[in-house]
Amino acid sequence: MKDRTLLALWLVAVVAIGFVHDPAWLAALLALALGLMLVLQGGVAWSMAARALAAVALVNVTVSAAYAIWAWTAGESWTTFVLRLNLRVFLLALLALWLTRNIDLVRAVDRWPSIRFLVVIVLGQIRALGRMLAEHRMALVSRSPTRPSLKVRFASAASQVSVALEKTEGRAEALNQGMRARGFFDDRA
Amino acid sequence: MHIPDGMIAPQAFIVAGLIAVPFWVHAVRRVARDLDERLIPRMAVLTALAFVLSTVMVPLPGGTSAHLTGVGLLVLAFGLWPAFLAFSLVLALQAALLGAGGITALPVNALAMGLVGGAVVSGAHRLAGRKKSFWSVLVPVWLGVVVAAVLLALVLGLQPWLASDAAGQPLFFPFGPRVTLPVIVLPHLAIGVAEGMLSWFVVSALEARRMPA
Repeated sequence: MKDRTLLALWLVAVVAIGFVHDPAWLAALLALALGLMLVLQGGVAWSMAARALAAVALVNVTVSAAYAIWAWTAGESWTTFVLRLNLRVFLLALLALWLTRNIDLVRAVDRWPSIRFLVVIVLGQIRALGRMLAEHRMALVSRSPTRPSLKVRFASAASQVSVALEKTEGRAEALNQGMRARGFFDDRA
Repeated sequence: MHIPDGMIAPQAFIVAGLIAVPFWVHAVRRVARDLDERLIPRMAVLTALAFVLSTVMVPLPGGTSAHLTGVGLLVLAFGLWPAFLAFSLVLALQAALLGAGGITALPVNALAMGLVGGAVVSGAHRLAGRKKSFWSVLVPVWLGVVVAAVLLALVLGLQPWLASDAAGQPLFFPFGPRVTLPVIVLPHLAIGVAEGMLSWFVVSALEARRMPA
């Protein structure tokens, strides 16, 4: 229930923030969000804020600087736009990080069994496939005393992808047989 | 390539959502019809595959690299509709699990990269006679990447026209298509070649092991 409410609240908040354009209101919402996180999570809120800032910094600084230079050369005001863009994007990134830290996605979708099964299997398979690809990358690093050439990096990336594609076929069939053996499809019939 | 939250106006993401829903419904029906009870395990593994493909780096000259989108490969290996569904699920998971990309921008990203980009790959590959030769893999994948980049650049470029305040200042992304098209599309001309070459490497490797792709 808690996770479903969190997911719903996040979705509503993300859409609603798109309709707020006054920088003062956006700053107030950001202060409110940070205040709530400080109360609920303690000092972790600051590290979340730093991570959110780092995540949006490159795109926001580039767009803001480009717009400020353009507006300055055109003799137009730029402060309202830059404040609005940065406050909104930072607030959205902060809310997204807060959600990812606090939500259990499987519990959030437990009202819909098909989606829950899908999410459970996807998360497990992401871990399994991700670990396999990480091992491939580490193997390349361990057998390369110097930086690998473009050709070698290409071959390594191609090998990672083809192994992942091959495994996909087998895993889908194995999962299907496992679910059938445990009566998953009978329960749903 | 995909657009993050906060850069596009509600008018754009709500309309994109309304356009995307019937395509998602159609994709679920098509995939369910073809896969029947195998739908859930098959889609789950495909989604996981699409997720990990996005973590594979495509090497670029000069020691740099870019993330693989994987849409072209997924379309070549599994067809348009499963690829579109898996890619859409990946965007949702990236937003909800990693805080990456954006949930409001999801319909725009899914339509541009998953549906239109995927359809271009599928159509061009069909025109090339579904061959597994270098050019008949590279050109469709390259076209898919470039067309998706053009679409995303146009959507971003439309934002100042869609939403600005009384003083004429933009409410969301501030630059028009004259800026977004070259800034987004030009790098993707090279990224598309790299992704197309990588796709051909993979298709050739799978062909050599006699796995259909």
